[in-house]
Amino acid sequence: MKPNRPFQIFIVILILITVAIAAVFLLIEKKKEKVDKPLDEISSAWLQFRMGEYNQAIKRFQMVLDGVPENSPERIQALYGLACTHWLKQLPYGDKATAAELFNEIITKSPDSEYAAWSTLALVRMQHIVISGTTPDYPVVRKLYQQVYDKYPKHTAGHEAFIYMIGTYLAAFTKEDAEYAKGKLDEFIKDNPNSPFISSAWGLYARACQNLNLKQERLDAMLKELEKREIDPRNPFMDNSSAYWAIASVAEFEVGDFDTARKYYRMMLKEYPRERRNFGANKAIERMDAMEEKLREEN
Amino acid sequence: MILKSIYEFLKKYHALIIIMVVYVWALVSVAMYRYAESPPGTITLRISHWQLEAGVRDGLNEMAKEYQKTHPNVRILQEAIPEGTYGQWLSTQIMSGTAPDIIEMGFIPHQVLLAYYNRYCYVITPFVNKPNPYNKNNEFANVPLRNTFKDGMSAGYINELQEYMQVPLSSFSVRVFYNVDLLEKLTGSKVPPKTYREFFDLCTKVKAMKDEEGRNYTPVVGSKYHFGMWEGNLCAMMTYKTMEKADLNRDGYVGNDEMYIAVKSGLLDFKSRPIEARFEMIREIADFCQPGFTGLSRDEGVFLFAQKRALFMTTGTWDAMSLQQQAKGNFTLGIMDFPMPTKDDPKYGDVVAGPRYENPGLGFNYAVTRTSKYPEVAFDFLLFMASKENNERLNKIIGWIPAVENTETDPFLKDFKPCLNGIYENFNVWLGGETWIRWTQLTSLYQVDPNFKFSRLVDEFIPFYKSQKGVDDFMEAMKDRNRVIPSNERFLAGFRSQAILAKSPEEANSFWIKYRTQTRDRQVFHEIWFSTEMKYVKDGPPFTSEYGPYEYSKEVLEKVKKRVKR
Repeated sequence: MKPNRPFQIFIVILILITVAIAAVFLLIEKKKEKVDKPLDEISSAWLQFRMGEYNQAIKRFQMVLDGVPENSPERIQALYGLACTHWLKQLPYGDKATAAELFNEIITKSPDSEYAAWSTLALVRMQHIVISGTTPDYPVVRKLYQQVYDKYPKHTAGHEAFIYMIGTYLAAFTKEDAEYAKGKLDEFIKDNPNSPFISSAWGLYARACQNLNLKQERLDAMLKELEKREIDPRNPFMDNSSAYWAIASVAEFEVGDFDTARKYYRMMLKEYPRERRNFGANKAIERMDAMEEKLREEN
Repeated sequence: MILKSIYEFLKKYHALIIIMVVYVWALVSVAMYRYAESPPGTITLRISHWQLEAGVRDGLNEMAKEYQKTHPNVRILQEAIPEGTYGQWLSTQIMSGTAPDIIEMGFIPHQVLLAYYNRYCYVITPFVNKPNPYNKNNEFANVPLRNTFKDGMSAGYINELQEYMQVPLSSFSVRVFYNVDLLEKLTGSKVPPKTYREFFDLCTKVKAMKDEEGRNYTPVVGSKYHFGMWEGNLCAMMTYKTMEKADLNRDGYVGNDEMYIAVKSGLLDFKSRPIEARFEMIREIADFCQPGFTGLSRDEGVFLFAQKRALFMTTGTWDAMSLQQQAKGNFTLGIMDFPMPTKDDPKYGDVVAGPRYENPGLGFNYAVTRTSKYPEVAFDFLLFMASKENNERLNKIIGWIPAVENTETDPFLKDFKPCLNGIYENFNVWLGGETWIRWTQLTSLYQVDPNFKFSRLVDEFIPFYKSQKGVDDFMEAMKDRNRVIPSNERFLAGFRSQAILAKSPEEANSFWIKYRTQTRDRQVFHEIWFSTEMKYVKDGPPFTSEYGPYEYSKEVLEKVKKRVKR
């Protein structure tokens, strides 16, 4: 059979045209993938993360990783986002192996960036957070938290690690643990009086005193905790009323310091007129007045 | 010939032709109607809610009409869906990406609702610290939006997400409604009872009276819907003093975990006076309701009241206008507060520490969906309805109480100022599924069977609660609390990213504060409190039946004595 030459040429041309069209489309797609504003893309990926759209978040972080230079700061940011998403996408465990790999890549590639500090903390958090009903390996976790603090003593992540570490000691309820925590907190407060976690540190100090039955010291620490407390003015549920109530009740029933108790009950009444516990605060003031009156009469 | 064929054709197909003509006419009419309603360039907003009470749809229509005066290209359509199907309807709309622009959130399990807020609704936090532009001519011209609401806009704040997600438009409280004419007819006086004792005596008298047809009057309307309000707003107040024994962390409230530990350790006796008083009062009020009321629905309860056969009925102020309309020309509707016992009450005086705390909550909350094509316009319409004048007007039409400060309330509801210095419930035995079922079975039986006494209720419930399924439920509840730790970590990662990527130092500072506070409360102290409770269960709490959380120890008394002496 004689080959049909024009037909063969037509087929070849057709194939060439198809390949050319595919190449053009591929180029267009490639161009589309190039990230013009990586920071906006990272913000958008985090938004997807917060909305619970983890696959979308991974896709966008990956897009930034593919579209920015190897050693750019945006790459580290995207890596951090990607690592967090892999870790937290499916609870309770997520893809810890991939997350750990990515966190370690950040620490290796950019050891001085703040993302290295957050990544180091995240690696410990992954060990601390265990499935409900099981107990974390506290000795190991404490050691690792201490290492994060030692490595980043002036970074928020380091301070956060310290706070988490102390929390594990105070949750143990032994006298030795409480004493150890109190001692460590003493040092931390002296070394970092302006730490962003200073109020939490005083709160934990109060808790250590409670475990050790040091009543006056507990009250003093609670007052310090309040003094250093940060309030987010945009959060209507975040106010000082609970702190006032807690201080007043400890002053009244643990320390017997009625003046301090009265002061904080009154502050609650004045600053939070809609507070549900105001009836109790009024009654407490009446109760203390009556008690003192009775004792005076007895004397 | 042609005419004949036309005639034949018409004769054969006239029916079809008529149908076609009508169909085309209908199509054209609908198209023209739609065109007139939404000409090109029109922005159409859909708003959905479940409020079928009288006045709500009129109020929203009026607001839409008013808004259109200044925004002629905006059309607002409302979709009022019955509450029984609202949750399913909203879920379907959200899932299919066809949710209305503005939605009232509710009738969906709480955890699902949180997911919906997170995924499908816009965060409105950036707007709440700016003044509402529709307040520019009043005293709130320079006041941040959130501070113009009676509750500081806490109803719009979703604590789990740490964001403002919705705008509240009305305020609500629960009241007792009564038939003034029937009260006068049966007692000779139009004055309603003020104290529980007066209420009790009056109901006892009315219960024994019969109407013209020989049927007994029902003093109190009971139904599944109504009785819970009596219980929650009146009887539950008797338990305020359980705090003295069971508030183990001294935060002023008794949680289900604290209650369990206190009962299990013997710190709180379930037969103690506050709990006993609650159930005695339930018994008394249940006996004033119609027989078999626990099986009746809300409408069946209202029907008895509308028929002038029942004297008192409790419901929310959201029903006030509907009730007024039903009573119109039929009888005079009165409204009163819950009749609390006084301290000299022979039965409840020992447990009533004061009046009932009431801080009316805001509701009728609306969120803007992410699928909205015009979210700015949707939010603007919400701001319009949340301005002082418009909110007052909207609620006046509906017959509800406005959500915005310094607004006038309908005279019918005006007299009820909130009581911000009073007692509240301190009783919570609902640990989990098994406990809940057992408790519900026993309390339902208690409500309907006068022979089922409180002591028997306690004897049957306590062994179950303290040492059988209650233990399992408690442990499961504790596990549930720990289950939130990983999801909290997610939220914290989200806040951290917002703080790091914030565009201004102020914004960053706000996110960092949020981040640190939540780290402390949700993670660090959460773990400590969890361990504390497990220790209390194992070793008992650090209080005794003589020295409770709100009782002076000998040591403290000695200290005070010395100080006073000095």
